[in-house]
Amino acid sequence: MRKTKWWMLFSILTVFALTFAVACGDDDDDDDTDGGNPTATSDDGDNGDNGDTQAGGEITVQITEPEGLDPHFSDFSVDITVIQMTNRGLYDLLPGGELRPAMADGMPEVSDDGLTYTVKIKEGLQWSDGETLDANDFVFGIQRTCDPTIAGHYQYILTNIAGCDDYYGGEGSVDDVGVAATDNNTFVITLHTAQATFPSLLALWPTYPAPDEGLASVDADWPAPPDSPCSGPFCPTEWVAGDHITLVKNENYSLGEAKLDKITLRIIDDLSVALNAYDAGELDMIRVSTTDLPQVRDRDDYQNIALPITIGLEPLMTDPLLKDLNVRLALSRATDRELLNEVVGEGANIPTTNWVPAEEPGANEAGAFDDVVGFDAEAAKKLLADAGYPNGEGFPGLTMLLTDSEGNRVLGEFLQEQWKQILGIELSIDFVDGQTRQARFNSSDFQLTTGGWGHDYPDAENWLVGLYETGASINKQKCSDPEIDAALAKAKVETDNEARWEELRKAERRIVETACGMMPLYHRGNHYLINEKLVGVTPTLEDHYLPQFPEDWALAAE
Amino acid sequence: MTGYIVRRTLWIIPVLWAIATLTFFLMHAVEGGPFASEKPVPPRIEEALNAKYNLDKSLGEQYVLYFWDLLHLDLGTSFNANQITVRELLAQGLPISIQLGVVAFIYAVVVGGALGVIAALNQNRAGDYLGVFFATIGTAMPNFIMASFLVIIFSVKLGWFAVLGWGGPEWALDDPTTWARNFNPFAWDYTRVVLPVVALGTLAASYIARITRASMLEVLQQDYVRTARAKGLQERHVIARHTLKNAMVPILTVLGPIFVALVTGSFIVERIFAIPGIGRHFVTAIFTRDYGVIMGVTLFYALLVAVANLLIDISYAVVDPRIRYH
Repeated sequence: MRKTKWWMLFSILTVFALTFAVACGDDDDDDDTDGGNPTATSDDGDNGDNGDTQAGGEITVQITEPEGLDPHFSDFSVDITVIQMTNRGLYDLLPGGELRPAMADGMPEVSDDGLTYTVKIKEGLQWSDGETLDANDFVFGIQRTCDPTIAGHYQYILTNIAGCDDYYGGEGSVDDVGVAATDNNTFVITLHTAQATFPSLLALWPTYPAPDEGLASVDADWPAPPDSPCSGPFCPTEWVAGDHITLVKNENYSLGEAKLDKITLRIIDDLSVALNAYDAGELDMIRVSTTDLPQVRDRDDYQNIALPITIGLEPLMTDPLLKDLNVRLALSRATDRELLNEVVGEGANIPTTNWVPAEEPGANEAGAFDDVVGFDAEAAKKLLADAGYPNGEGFPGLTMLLTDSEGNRVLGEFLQEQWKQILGIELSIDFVDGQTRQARFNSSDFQLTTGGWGHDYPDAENWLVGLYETGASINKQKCSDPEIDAALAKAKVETDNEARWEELRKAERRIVETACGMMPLYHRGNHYLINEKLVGVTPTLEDHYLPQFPEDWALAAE
Repeated sequence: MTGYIVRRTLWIIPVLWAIATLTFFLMHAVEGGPFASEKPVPPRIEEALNAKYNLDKSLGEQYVLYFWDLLHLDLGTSFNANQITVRELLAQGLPISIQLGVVAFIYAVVVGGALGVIAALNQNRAGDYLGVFFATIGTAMPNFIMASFLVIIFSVKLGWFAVLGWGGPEWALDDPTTWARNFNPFAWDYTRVVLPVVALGTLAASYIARITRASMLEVLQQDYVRTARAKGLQERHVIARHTLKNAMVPILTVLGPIFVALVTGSFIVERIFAIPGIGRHFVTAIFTRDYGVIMGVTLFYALLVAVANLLIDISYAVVDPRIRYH
């Protein structure tokens, strides 16, 4: 019996020892980080060009698996991230919405009626394989996006290019798409109607060039690495599914040579795994999940990049219960967005009632709708009473459709608790997998769900047109309001920015104040850990998996 | 015996057909399709996509078409934009999952078996407690917890092992000239092998240790063991010839399922070590409604289970001459 006790003691001690090893280890690590780099600041991102960088070098960064690298097909943020490393277009979209000519030689020339855009292409551009890159390749690129076989998921953004919709819909022909090369360096685009935001589209991947010599036909598949057409600062030389994508410097890139020699994109689905690998020195840049945020947010290598993404509650406007404006407003006003951000978002988001983020051109100012839809428990109770359910009596019950995830579980519980407390109503939640949620959303088979938007280009137009008009293709919440329709119809054809933005502000006000399919909750950001030796990483305002412009990234001098 | 093997092998076909049929109708019964996305494609394009993959046809027709292709060993194409075939997908992931599973299996058998034998021979002494301690920890700790512990202690803190990836040599199932690489001990990067194998194999090792211990203890009390000892046989002969061999039958019974579980069940371990095996397809294909991949992976796993069970049944005859097959 004595021996039994000895072994029990040994077992217990072993377990304790293991636990301590882990706990103490953590402390050591934090001390190292705090003490080791006292001068490092979080503005590393802005001091990329200070000259103390090495030439060349290799880095490994975390990413999730893309679906494909075809710029004329993709709509996934991670696909687009890689595509922007390996391909480039006429312009670069800088934070704040400014356009910087990339392959274009200056800004486009616009005809007086606003329907014809003429863009000069820089001389002597090349694909990575040495083939000439000229206006013909840009013609080919837009034709691919409009091609029905390619079935580009972003075609809708080119809907204003003459003939694009017809060709995509199977009625027109590729020759009728309004793009032409009048000579090798002159690219001409014809539009249906004048569109003030059109130049921004020339910075997006659906307008990137396609090699007219390299692809057999306009509907040919985009070759996989290592044969992918490459016009960007880095070229993909290898893609091992589930493992990594290798990018090497494009020696034929003439728009400012990349500083690094090689970037390995390591495919890791689980961000906690990436965090371990980063801490073990195997990765130089990773995304951080909300779950891991508390343990890294005080570190010097942590960067939070705020993005123009809005997440909110989406009520189905034809639902018998939710078509009552008072009910919708009661739900919105009974939701404490500040508390939600603390409880669910680890304080990392920006609580809001704005749909279009205030910094976007044509947006209403921040907090403009707080008085109507912002958190106010008393007002919420009164609204619900006005709807005929004082203190929730007689309320028929409400079901929310959510994708099953850790974050959504907390969100669901939060709303259940808060609406129970303030309004006295029961919220039940239907947790389903992503594809089921999408199928039900697309067929408007839900009462309430969450959803959001991240812009394609910085302008209020992109947040409203095509999303909230009666019958618009993405308007699955079935918002239908004559005032919104009228304002958006005017804004679409107005070319004077101030007048246009005025209409867009009107439309946004109407959408938010009547909770027409959207009750904004917060703006989201991306969280990164970036090795302090990696410099030149500038924040991006686009919803990409990684910051833009990898050609500026470099390793600090030893 | 030969007749038995042939009959059992032929039986695999209807079993696979039943599993395939069940999977086919179950997966199509689930709501949502492969092409649902945030920015929906226009109806005409979706029709074209559905037509391309035969999804516009009735379920019955799709079923017949699928089995027709299957008979020609055509597993179809994944729906993701890469247009990769299911065969290519399996060909990429399987060599890695097989290496991981087989090494974890060897680890489980060697460590589990050894601890079980030591525990049984030292009943109620130090060796026994060591074995039972290991078995208890291994059983009680889920592999994702163990994997996280191992990574944090041995990779992040101590830096002995790598966090990411798998260190096995590259090989291909359909290229026998590459098979030998697996047996070259210098082709392995052990810093990327040890932790995934321990994380994956420890539960199995604990299980084997417990079964071995119990089975050995039972056999050790048999009359023929006492007789063997009474006749003055050397202890190692008593253990090796009379005890261990007879204790093998219950152990062999569990080895088949354990082997299959290790080769197929590495989803969590593959995720935690970012290993590009087949486990993630098994799970993600269902979430993305990638019908071809769901079918391909399920059928492959079913085949593996069937073959493993067959091999185990045959091996009974080898260790236990009383078992005869007709």
